[in-house]
Amino acid sequence: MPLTQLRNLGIVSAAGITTTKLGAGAVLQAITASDSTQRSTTSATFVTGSNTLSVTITPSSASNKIFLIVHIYVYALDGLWTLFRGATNIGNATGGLTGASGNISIMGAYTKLDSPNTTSATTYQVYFKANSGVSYTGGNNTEQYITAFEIAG
Amino acid sequence: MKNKIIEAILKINPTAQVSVSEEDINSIVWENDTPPIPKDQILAILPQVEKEINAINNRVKEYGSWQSQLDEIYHEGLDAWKTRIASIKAKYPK
Repeated sequence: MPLTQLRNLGIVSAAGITTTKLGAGAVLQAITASDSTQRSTTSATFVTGSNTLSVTITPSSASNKIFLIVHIYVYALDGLWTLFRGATNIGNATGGLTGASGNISIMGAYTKLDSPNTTSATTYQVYFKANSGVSYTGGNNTEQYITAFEIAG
Repeated sequence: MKNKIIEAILKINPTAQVSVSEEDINSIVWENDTPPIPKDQILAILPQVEKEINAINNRVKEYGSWQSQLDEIYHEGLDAWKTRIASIKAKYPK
């Protein structure tokens, strides 16, 4: 005698699983990349410094959001870090998303919830700059990460 | 933390905008239309830059924290502190 009964009221296909079981707020996919190399710059504008903190994600719906977490090791006299979607800075145009000053090493993280409004492959990458002196990211036997989550809209 | 390649570049051109990975001279990216400096020119001053970086690192270690130096000045006086700092600078010349 069965102890439970499964009644299929709304899930009729794979697409049904997406809409019925993975509603708004569900995590649909996660992509990550890392970089353990020290990158340094004196650039007054945001640059990658050749870092590999770059992920490409293809949203399954234009209404979905992308939640990004960046975990970095930084050292700077007066430096700023941000995220670019393609060629677009999705942080503050001048202030980015986080900063470091006073030549103190910091292991930290910053996040961004983005609405790319596309179903095309979209690339996010960490950029940084130096308002004065030299800005460093990575190195010192540290591992840095960027992780992108697609969130159902 | 000082990158000797960037320090060498800044010694030649103090306003250079440049990016470097690790201390790899082959990884240099000249940013924002900064005119490139020939590699041999950078390599030529690297020994001097390394000596300066080592001197700074050694000096900082022996200076102690700024808190301990303030305490030293309070207890021993400014002249005693200056004498000790001068001896460290002489010990590790740039």
